[in-house]
Formats: sequence, C-alpha cells, structure tokens
Amino acid sequence: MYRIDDRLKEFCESALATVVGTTDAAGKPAIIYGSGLRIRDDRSSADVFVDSLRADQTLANLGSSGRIAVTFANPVSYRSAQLKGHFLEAAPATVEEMAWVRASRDAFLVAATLVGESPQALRSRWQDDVIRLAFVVEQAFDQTPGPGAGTPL
Amino acid sequence: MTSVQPSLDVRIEDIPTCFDGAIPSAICTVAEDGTPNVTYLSIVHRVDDTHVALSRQFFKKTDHNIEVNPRAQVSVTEPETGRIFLLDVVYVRTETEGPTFERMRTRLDAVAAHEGMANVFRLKGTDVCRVEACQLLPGFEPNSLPRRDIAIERVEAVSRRLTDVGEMEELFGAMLDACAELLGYPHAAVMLADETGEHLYTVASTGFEASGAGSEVRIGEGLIGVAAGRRQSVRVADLGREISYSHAILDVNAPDDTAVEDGPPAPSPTSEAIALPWLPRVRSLLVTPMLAYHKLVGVLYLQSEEPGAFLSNDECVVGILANQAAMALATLRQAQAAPEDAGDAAREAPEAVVVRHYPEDDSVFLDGEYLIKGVAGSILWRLLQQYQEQGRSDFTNRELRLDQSIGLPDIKDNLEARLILLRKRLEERCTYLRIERSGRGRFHLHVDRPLVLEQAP
Repeated sequence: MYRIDDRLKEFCESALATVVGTTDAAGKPAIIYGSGLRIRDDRSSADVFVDSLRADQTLANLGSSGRIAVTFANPVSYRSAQLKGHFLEAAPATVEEMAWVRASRDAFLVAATLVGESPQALRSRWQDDVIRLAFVVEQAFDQTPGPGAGTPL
Repeated sequence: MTSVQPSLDVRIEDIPTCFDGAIPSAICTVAEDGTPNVTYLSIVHRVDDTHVALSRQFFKKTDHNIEVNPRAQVSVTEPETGRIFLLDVVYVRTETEGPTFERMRTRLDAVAAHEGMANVFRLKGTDVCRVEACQLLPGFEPNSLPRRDIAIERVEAVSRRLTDVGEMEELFGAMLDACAELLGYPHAAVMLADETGEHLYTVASTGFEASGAGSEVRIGEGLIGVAAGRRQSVRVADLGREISYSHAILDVNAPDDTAVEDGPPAPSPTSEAIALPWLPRVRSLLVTPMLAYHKLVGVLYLQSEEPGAFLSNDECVVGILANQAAMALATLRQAQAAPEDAGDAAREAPEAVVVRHYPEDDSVFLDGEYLIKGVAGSILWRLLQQYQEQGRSDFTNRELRLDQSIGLPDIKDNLEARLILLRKRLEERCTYLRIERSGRGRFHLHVDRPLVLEQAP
C-alpha cells in the first residue's frame, strides 16, 4: 500500500491544476478536468472532484476498468505529480466538499490569471454540479516537465 | 447524476487557436496492463485537418504507452473562450526530420535561446497522430468564434504595392505599412542580414518607442537569430508562459553546472549595444525569415502585448509578404546605379564636435557617445573625411560602392540599406549631422557644426 507523506499531501492539495485519466476495458483513454484533490486521513486514498455533466465516460470507465490516474500541477511553477490507483466510489459532493472545491477553484483562478490566462475564459472551465471520485493511491510519480518526469515518488 | 448534452463533432481547422500553445493541454494514454497515464503537454500542433503532432521531449511513460497502445485522448483549450475540446487520436508515426519536426524544433529552440538556454530542450521527435474524433465538452457554447481571416484581395493589394516600389526605403515602408494597416499589427521591424551572413541589423521599424535602427542580432543566437539561422518562421502565442515553462524545466532538472547563460554577448569595448525594437510587455511574437534565391535576406518580425495575437493564417500571409519583399530587395540591389554629381560648400557651426573612429570595428563616437559601427560606421567616417579634406557634401551611391577604403568587397549589395540605417541613427542621435536624399542614387551630407576627426590607434 502506498502511503502519502506530508510533503506530497501538501503539494497534492495546493497544486490546483488537476486532470483525471481513465480507460475503458478495451484500452481507450479518457480525460476529465478535476479540482479539489484531497488526501484522506488514511494517507493511502484520496478524493478528486469532477463535473457530473461531463463525467459519463469517466464513470463508465471507472466502472469497467477501475483504474484511475490524477495529475496535478502548479500553474505558476509547472511543478507537477501524478497519483495512480484504483477507483473506490463516486458520490455527489456534500456542502462541505463544495466549499472545499470552490476554494480550490478560486485559488486556481488566481494562479492562472497570474500567468496571463483570461479569468473570463477560465470561469467556464467548471460547472456547479460536482461529483466526488474516491480512489486508493497505489503509486505516485514526479511529473514536472524535464528529464526527471516519470520518476517514482 | 444528470443527463449529458450531445457533444458536437468539431473540425480542428475551425479551432486553430487551440493549437497555438497559449494554454497547456493534457494527454491520457494507457499502458499494457491497463493503467492510464495522464500528463500536461505544453503544446499540441495541428499538422493538417486530420492530424496533430505531439513533441517527444520528456514523456517517457506516454511514449512507452503509445508504442504498446496507439490510442490517446488529448484535451485542447481555446484561449479566448476557455472552451475545452477532447480529441481521440491514434499514433501514426514518429518524425525526426521534415517540415513538421523542423517547425516544432525551431520554435522550442528559439524560445530557449531567448532565455540563453541552449541545448536544454532537445526535441527527440514529433509523434504524428491521426484525429479520429474531436468533441466539445458539454456545457460550453457550441458556436465557433468567427474566423479572423485576411481577405485574399488585401493580400493581393499588398503584393501589388511591393511590385511598385522603386527604392529600398520605400520597400521597407511598404512592408511595415502592410503589417500595420492591412494585417492590423502596428509593431513590426525589418532586419537585414549583413555581408558576412553572421549578423542581422535593424533597418526599419514601426510602433516601438525607440526605432532600434542599427541594433544587431547574431544569426543563430536568441529567438530572432535562431529563426533566421534555421530559415524557419517562429510564432509564439505567449512568450511569458513559455519562458516560465522553460525555467521550470531548468530549475528542477538541470545539474548545477547548467546554469542559465548570460543574455546577448557583451558589446565590444568601443561600442554600445543598441537595443532591439521590443515591446516592454511583449506576449505574442512572429518572426518570419525573408528568403530570396536560396539566401536569407533578413527577417520581418511582429510583436504584440496581447497573447495569441498572431494566428496560423497570419503566419502564412506574413511569410508570403516577407519572401516577396526579399525578392524585391534582391532585384533593387541589382538595379542600383547612379549618375555623378558635384561638390558643395561646408557650413559654419558654433562648436566643434569630436568624431572618433575606431578601425578595429569601424565604430564611430560623437563627443564620446557611441553612434554606429561596422559598414555604416566605415561609410560615415569616409564621408566625414571627404567633407573635411575636400569640402564635399554631395555624394553618390556609386562612388561609395567603388570606394576601396570602405573596405568590404560585398558592400554594393547592402549600401542603400546601410545608408538608410546611418541616416536613421543620425536622426536619432544628433542634430548637427544628417543625410538627405538629393536624387536617385545621390545624397547630401548636412553638417551644422565644425568637426574634429580623430582616428583611434
């Protein structure tokens, strides 16, 4: 079982730009943008939040293959990492979780605006109807662009 | 959960700005054991209406996965609207040469060179992928942005104007006017290759605070120099973002001895570097080589403080414009010929100016202030000597071309451009010396103060 240490947890929860990858049973990949990646207290599972309206393929893939990859990056420094593991469950975000997701999205907006992206264009990136995807973390990799990308953490 | 709106199939040629690298993309691939891998990608290039190309730089896992399972999904974002599109792609081949590879390699190297980071981002190859589906994510406005095409009639009008020019300065004016008026880009500069083929020098610009006339770039160095050296246009949608990306790679991954090099080479002790015409908050950049008869004649470059200002269509149109101007320039150089003229009297002026010439690089200083160097410096020194010794102030292009003391056998090719440059530098740097055209192939040297000519040892 992979255990996420304090340093990686801190980075996971502050990296802001989050993307989720899944695959169907035949090996056809799918992407969905996420937000609010949060490590659970057991340090070996995590939650990531995605727009439910856009999640049909992702949910179907998670139901069939059960595999998930989540990459998160700091939009200013480009430092990034990837968690890989197995899907646990999906559920509508609670009120408390929505507050966490909104805070995370707001922080992303600030960071992305700092590097010159249009706030107006960024706002349409997410929707209000959000589901939580829970997964067991089995591997973690450095994903920062450069020759070290792909190194296990 | 809720029902899904039907996704729209989109033609990739209808969303060109998604492929300019203004906003990072993501790519998801699948390993042989069924594990997905998802990572950010700096830019997805559009090759044609059904193919995209991905750079093979650091994506070890992605590269491996694509070899065992050629399917990938790529997301691209339209910077103006934030609309996100998902592309289902299938790997076709890896290219390590050819136009697509060279275009991507030059762009990468040019941005790195801008930051003095040579050899940090070696492009190993480009993965060309067939696009099998392109869908807009549900929840976004389905209507595409109106396309900002340049009307073919306007391109034809510019082309006609370029064929009408009779003189070099008129040609530069026509090029800059075309950028500003017809294409809508008010910040543009023309640089020409010098006789040695080692440097570019700025001969005309518009829309910048300082004209930068006479500023130089070594071919092969820096963003403009790399584009010129490879004879490849470079279009950058967001220079600041690409620089941050470069620094991230360098900061995290470079060994200690791979520090960022210094910027441009230090000016020689006898001259000062003239700054390139450059917008202080430049975001978008388009550098287009001017090519004629298999030779690099110069570059035309455009800048904007807006991100994503230059579209792929613009790059094509500016390329046509630059090459036609290069051909016109080559023709004008061949046609240069001029009648002789007689001399004129000198004028009086209140206070003497010390003009100092350094033969090692032909730099000329006025009262200790750097003015110009190289061929233009040599020309000025020769003119001032003749003014001083023989009282002449009217000259012809022809006599300069024949003047061995100017020292460069190939000067005839670039004489007129050098005179334009010299005239601009004089306009900018002093009030008492100026050069004015006095007829076809003739010019008059105005001197409003006494001169003391000093040849440095």
